[in-house]
Amino acid sequence: MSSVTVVLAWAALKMRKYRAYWWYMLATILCGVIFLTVKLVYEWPQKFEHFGAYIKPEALEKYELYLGNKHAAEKGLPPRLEISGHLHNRQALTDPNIKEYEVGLDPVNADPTNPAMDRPHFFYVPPTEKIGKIEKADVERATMFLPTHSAYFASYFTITGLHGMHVLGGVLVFIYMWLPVSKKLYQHNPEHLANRVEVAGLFWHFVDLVWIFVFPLFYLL
Amino acid sequence: MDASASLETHGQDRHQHEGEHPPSPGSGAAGEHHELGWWRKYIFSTDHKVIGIQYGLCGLVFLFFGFSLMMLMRWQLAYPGQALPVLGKWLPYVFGPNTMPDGKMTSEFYNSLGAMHGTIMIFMGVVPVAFAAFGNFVVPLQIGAPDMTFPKVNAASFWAFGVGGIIMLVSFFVPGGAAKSGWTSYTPLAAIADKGDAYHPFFNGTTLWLVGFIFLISSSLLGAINFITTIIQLRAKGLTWMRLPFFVWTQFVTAFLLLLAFPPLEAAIVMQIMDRVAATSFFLPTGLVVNGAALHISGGGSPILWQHLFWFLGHPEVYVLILPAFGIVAEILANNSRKPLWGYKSIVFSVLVIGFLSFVVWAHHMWLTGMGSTVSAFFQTTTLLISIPSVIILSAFFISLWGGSIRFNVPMLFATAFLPMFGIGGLTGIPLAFNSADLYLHDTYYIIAHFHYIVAPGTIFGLFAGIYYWYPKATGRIMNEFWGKVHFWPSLICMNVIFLPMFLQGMLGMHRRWYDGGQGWTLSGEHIWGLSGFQWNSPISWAAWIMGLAQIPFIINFFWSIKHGKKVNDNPWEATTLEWTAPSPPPHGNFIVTPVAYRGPYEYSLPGRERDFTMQNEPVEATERTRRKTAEPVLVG
Ligand code: HEM
Ligand SMILES: [Cu+2]
Repeated sequence: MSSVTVVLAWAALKMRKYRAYWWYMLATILCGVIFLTVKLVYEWPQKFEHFGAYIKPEALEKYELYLGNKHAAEKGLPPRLEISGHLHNRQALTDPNIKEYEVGLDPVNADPTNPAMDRPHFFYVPPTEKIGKIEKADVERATMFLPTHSAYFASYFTITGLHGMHVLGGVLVFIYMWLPVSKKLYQHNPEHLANRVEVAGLFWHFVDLVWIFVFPLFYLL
Repeated sequence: MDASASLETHGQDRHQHEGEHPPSPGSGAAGEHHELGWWRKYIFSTDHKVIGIQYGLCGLVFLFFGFSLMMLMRWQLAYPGQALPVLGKWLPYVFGPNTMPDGKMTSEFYNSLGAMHGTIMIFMGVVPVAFAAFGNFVVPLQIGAPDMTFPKVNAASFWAFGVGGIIMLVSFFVPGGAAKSGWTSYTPLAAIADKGDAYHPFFNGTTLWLVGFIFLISSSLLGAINFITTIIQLRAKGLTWMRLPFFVWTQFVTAFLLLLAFPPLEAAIVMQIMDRVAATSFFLPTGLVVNGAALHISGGGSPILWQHLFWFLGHPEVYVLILPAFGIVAEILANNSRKPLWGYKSIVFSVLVIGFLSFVVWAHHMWLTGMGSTVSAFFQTTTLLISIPSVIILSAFFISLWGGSIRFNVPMLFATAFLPMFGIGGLTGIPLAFNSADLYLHDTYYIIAHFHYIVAPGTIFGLFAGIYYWYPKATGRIMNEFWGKVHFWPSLICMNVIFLPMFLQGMLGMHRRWYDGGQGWTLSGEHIWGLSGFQWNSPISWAAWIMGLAQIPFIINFFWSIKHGKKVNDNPWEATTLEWTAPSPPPHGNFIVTPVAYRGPYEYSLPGRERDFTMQNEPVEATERTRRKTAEPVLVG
C-alpha cells in the first residue's frame, strides 16, 4: 500500500504538483506509523503477556489432559512438550515459594484432542477461561514469550525488530521530506527533491520486499 | 571497457554529482559552494581529500593508542605481577582503580588490553588508514576524477567510523572496563562475559564493543560501495582497466572484500547483541553451565556458528589489511627503481584471484573445532592455493627491482623492507595451512609472530611508505629525509627483535593469552640462546618500548613538515601516474585540466626519451608508436 503511495508521491513531484505530493507523502507516513503501532502496541505486548512452560519428559504423562499426546500420536503428529497461555499468578516466575503456575490455557491446551487444534491458527485466538495448574517441579523451563523463550521467538523478535527499525528510519526520512523544509527545496530545485524521494522510495520498496519474505516465514509457517 | 563508453557514463555522473551542490554561477547556490565555513571545509567536509586526511589522522592516532595498550601489556608479560614504575601510579586514575591497583595489572585489565589492542589496531587503525585514508585521498586523483561518486555518503562513512571509534573508547570507562574476550569475541565466552551485578546490563564492555562494531562495519560498507562505483564510473578518459595503477586495483578488490564479507558479521553481531541483551540463544548451546549453575536460556544455539561467521569476515579482513599495502609498495617500487612494474597483468589477475579465494579459506582459523576430514581437506587445499597468487605478487615485486637504478629515499626504504618482512609472515603461514601442524601451533606465540610479520613490519611499513610518498601531494612539502631514516632503521630492527623470538616462544608451546607471560609454565626448562621461553619476554618488551620511542621522530617530522618542510613541485618523485599532474595540494575538484590517459601507469625509462619517466597524460607520439611495436622488450631493459 504505502509502496504505491510513495510512487504516486514521486510521480506527483515529477509533474510538479506539490499539493498532491504532500498528501501522498502523508498517506505513506501514516501507513508506516500504523504498521509500527500495530507491532509495538498490539502484537509485541501480546507476546510478552503470553506464557509457556516446557514439561520435563518424565512428567509428560501427567499433563496428558492438556497435551493430548495420545491423540497426536494417533494422527502421526509430533508430541507436544509445551503448555502455554495466560499466566494468572505472575509472581510465580520470581517467587520460589509459589510451587505452581496457574495458566489460563491456550485453546490448544484447553481442548487438545479437538482436530481443529492440530495445526496452529493463523489469527490470534485468545487464551480460554480454563485454568490449568502446572507444578514447577515438572517444568523444564518456563518463560513469557520473550526472545529467550525459544529459537522461534529469538528469530522472530530479532527480525521483526530490525525490520521495524528500518520502517522507523524510512518514516523519519519521509517526515523530513514532508515537512515545510522540503517545500523550500522544492521551490528552488524540484528535481533534487524528486530524486531524494525516489531514493527514499527505493529504500521503502526494499523494506517492503523484506517484509514479503518475513511475513510468510514467521506468521504463516 | 572502451574509453568512449566510460567517458559517457563519466559525464553523466559528474552531472549527478553536481546535482548535490547545484552549481548555477552567480546564484545563491554557487555562493554556498564556495564560501564554506571552516567547519564545513575541514570538519564536516565532503571533499575526498579532506575526508582522506581526517581518516588518516584519526587512524594514526588510534594506531598509536592501540600500540600503547600493547606496550602496557608487555610490562606484565616481561615482569608479571610487578608494579609498573611511574606510569603505574597514575594509570588507575585514568582507567579506574580496579585496573592496576598499586601499579600491578589485574588479569581482567590485561584481557581488556589484549582484546582492544587487536580491535583498535585492525578496525580503527589499519583499515581506516590503508583503505579509507589512502583510498580516499589517492584513488580519485589517480583515476583523474574530481571527487568520489557520492561525496555525502563518503562523509557519512567517516562519521559512522567516528561514532564507532568513540563507543569503543568509551567502553574503557564503563564499570568493569572494556571487552575482554579477544578481538574475535568468541561465543559462548563473549555472550556471558561482563555480566552480573558489577556490570550495567547494556553499558558494559562487551555490549559496547558489539554496538561500536556495528558502526565501524556500516562505515566500511558505505565506503566500499563508494569506492567501487567511483572506480567503475569516474575513470578519466582513456584510463582503461589495464592502464589503472596497481594501487587502484588493490583498492578495488579490497572494497569488494569489505562489501561481501562484512554483512554476515554484521548480522552475527546483531545476534550476539540479542544473546547478551535479550537472552536469546543464537550462539549458546543447550545445557550451558556457568560457574556451576545451568543458565536459564532456551539453548539450542551453536557457538561454532559464531566462529564461522566471524572468520568469514576475518579471513578476507586480513587481505583487506594487506592488499592496500601491496598497492602502495608497488607504486613506490616502480617509481624508485625507475622501471615498469614487472608482470603488471599477472599481478592484477593475482589480486583478483586472491580476492576470490579469500572467501573460501576461512575455516583454516578453526582447525581445532574438529571439523571432518573432508571439510578440512577442502580448506587445506584452498589455503595452499591462495598462497600462489601471493607468491606471484611478491616475486613480481622482487623482479621489478632487478636491474633498476634504485633510489633509496625514505618511502623506498619502507617499501623494500616490506618485501622480506611480508615474505617471512607469508612463509610462516604455510605450516599453519596444514591441519596437523596447526593443531600444535594454534593459539601460541607462533601465530602472533606470523600475523604480525604481515601486519606490523608488513602493512604498517607499507603505510609509512605511503605517507612519506604522498605527503608532498597533500601538503606541497616533503618530509625530512634524515629524520625519516632515523624513524626507519630503529623501527625495522625493533620489529624483528619483537617478532622473531615470538616464533621460538610459540614453538616451545607458549600460549598467546597467558597473563603471566608463561612464568608459571612447567616446560620452561628449554632454552634458546641461553634464554627460556619466558625470559625472552623481556628483550621483546624492551624492543617494543624502544620502538615506541622510534615513532617520535616520525610524529615530529609529520607535523613539523606541514609548515617547514622543503617546498617541492607538483611531481617531486618524477612519477608517472595521474595524481602527480594535479597541483599540490589539489584544489576542490582536483585538476586544472581534466586529465586524459594515453598510456599505462608505469612508463619509466622509455627508450628514446629525454626524461626517464613518461606521464600517463602524455600523448603517444607517432615515432614512438612504430618503435614500440618492434622494440617492446627494450622497455624492460
Ligand atoms: C609493533 C608493535 C606490536 C606489538 C609489540 C604487538 C604485540 C602483540 C602481542 C604480544 C599480542 C598478543 C596478545 C595476547 O596475548 O593476546 C598481540 C596480539 C594482537 N595484535 Fe599486536 N602488536 C603490535 C602491532 C600490531 C598491529 C600493527 C596490529 C594490526 C594491524 C596488531 C594486531 C594484533 C591482533 C589482531 C592481536 C590479537 C589480539 C587477540 O587475539 O586478542 N598488532 N600483539
Ligand atoms: Cu586466514
